[in-house]
Amino acid sequence: MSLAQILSCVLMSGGLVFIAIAALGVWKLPDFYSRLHASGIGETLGLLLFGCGLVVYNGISPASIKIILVILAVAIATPIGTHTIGRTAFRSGREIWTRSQEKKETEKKEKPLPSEAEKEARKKASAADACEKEEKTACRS
Amino acid sequence: MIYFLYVCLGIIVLMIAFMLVRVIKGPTVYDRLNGLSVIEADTILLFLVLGEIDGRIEMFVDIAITYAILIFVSSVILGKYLGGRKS
Repeated sequence: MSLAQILSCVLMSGGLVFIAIAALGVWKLPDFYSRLHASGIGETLGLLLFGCGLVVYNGISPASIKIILVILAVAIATPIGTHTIGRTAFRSGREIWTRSQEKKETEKKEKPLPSEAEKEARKKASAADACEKEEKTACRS
Repeated sequence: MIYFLYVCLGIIVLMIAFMLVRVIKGPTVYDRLNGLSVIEADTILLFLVLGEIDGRIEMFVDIAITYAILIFVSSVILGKYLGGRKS
């Protein structure tokens, strides 16, 4: 193996490691935003490193110039895509995961489901709250 | 070197399988979109490695450029389409 092949092997292995970290994060992390962060960072750097390894392996040729074009397209596309997904999720009102939220979720799982009488009481309470809010706004206007 | 490329192929296919689990299982639409974007990026790598193994990298790189531009447009448009909806 020549020096260029060894260098390309090292670069491609680095890219594979980053892609593996991104995939592991998307598979295992608990929250949507943390999963998005794992994919956005690991994927971009992994693709860049892997493409650089392929360029080194091919040497100076039309193919390597096209691979550089692919790298540029991906380096623009992946961060913009993850940013768009995260922005839409934030605008549609997804809550950010915290430790206290995790505790609440486990408590909810342990509690039994609320009976129908409790549900009706909650509906009445929420309806009363809505009426109060409407009155306030009416007073302001 | 060719064996190293085969190993790369196997690892990338494994990553795509893990991401398929996330796409099928994902609790919300955004999780599915995220897994899809990872799958698309891995597919570009798959094209490049396949071309390197096949020996006709020029043809496969053209496909990879087209695919990269396509996934950019599709991910941005899907994000914009789903955006602003209170769920």
